[in-house]
Amino acid sequence: MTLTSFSDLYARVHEDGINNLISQVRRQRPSLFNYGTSAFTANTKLLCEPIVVHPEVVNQGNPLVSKLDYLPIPGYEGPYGVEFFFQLTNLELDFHPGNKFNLPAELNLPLAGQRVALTAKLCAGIPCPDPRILERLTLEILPERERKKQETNEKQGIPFDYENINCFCLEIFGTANFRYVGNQGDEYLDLFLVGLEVVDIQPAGLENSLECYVSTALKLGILPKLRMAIKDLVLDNEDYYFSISPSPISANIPFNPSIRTDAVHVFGQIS
Amino acid sequence: MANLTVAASEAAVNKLFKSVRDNLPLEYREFSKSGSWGPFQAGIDVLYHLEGGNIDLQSDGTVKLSELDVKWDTLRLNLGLDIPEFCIGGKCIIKVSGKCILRLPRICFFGASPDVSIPINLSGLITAEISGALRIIPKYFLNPEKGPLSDHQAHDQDKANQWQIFLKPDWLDLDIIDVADTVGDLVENIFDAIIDSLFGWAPVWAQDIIRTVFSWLVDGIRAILDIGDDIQEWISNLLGVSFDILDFIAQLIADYMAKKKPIFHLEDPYPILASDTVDGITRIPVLAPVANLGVTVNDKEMILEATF
Repeated sequence: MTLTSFSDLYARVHEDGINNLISQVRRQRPSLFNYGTSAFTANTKLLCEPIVVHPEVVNQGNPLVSKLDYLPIPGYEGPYGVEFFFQLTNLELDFHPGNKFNLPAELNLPLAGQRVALTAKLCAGIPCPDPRILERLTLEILPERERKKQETNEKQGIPFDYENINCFCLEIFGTANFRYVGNQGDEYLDLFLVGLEVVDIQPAGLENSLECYVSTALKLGILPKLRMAIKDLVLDNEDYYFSISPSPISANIPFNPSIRTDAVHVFGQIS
Repeated sequence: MANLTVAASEAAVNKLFKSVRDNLPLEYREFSKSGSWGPFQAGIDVLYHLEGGNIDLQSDGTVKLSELDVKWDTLRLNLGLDIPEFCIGGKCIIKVSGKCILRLPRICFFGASPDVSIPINLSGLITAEISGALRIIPKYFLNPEKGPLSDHQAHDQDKANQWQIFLKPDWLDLDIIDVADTVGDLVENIFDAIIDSLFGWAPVWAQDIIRTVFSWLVDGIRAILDIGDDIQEWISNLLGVSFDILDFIAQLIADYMAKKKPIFHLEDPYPILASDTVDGITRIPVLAPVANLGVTVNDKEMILEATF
């Protein structure tokens, strides 16, 4: 049996190749993995984990950290918000059968067929506002009847002690699968998150809430940016006049893409 | 060990081949050539396109090309004959004291060069066929224009290094296989055309006399052109031997395949994420180095491997 016994085209990418590509994305598109408010976009050395960046990112003035709005302060209507940041580091994939790292029991071990395991480190921090500034701000809060004159839409971060940033890191694990998205003839290979587990958070409600938030951020924010066009994976065909699309599912191709033997396998047809 | 493997079945390779065949650039499909051999002059104008053909992947690692037809959209032969000039008359009739006072008129023939020019239009009447065995050769192209540019700058300016895949012919065979019957009729008319072009001004009865008188000239022309009884064979030899057109075309195609145009290329490093603009800032594309690209062929498929 040959690689193309049941399709015109076949492509296989080993998990080591995928992880090398993720590493390149982290170095050349760091703002995809690092987020923070203005204090942290202006000074990336304040972050928990140093950002390893490709020199061209700095040469071209590309952002290292994506800017976020300040955390609102409930009940406070003044101009200040709370600074914070979070980073996703050490993202690594492990294709079925899964032998690079151990998944937590909550993710229904062993790793199911056609699944990808992933692990990453989530680091974050909410620096405490400087207590002297907080005290001054409380004195500046006007009586209710005068507050409307003070309202402003322009927020700024409450100053904090740069030496005293509360960094913390969590291990996260997940399972995912690959699927095709996009129009016919222009499909993309997409990594879709199925389950997520943040290790050792109590109480359970806090853990679940955090997992929900991180899962949403991965599904909507980060993973869609890592999609790869099928036509680019298989062939650079800008000079030719044919289209490439995934082969349909059949008895001979029960899964497309297929995740097995530490790799993702893609079957395509030419028309 | 390679972490990227891409394979194409024999059917897929045939589809790729047909794409190349049907989109061969014009610069490789048209040419003009001329030459002279003694009194015989010839020129040729050619425009062709390719049809048919089939690809077989071989267990020895070659790709066999079978029966690719060369269709001549334009195939014009311009034959010319420079007949040696000869003159009649000019003799002195009456001489007085050693001086000629009455001389017959001197008439010279075939002073032009060429004296006879005959266009033969064979467009659409002849088919040639190419077969060959080709080997897949990957090469790393160090772009001289990259110079001191960074990988990202080179990518932006389309000056990046590349992995390129070429087809190198082990052997190529180009044959003329079908000369239409109408070609023979065309050539047979050459002789009438010669007489018409030289003496078309004369009345018909005079042309008949001229044909008789100059029959030796017609035989001589036929001998010079070496036209045998088999007109088709003559045309084949003319195109294949006298013009060497077949090897010329075969070499054109071989050059195209081996040197000029890779059938596949991969920029290195390869852009896995395109450049985009966020909040007015253009972010650089994400480039990933590609190493150890290799190609193998067996009788079922062609396999490309590389390492990211």
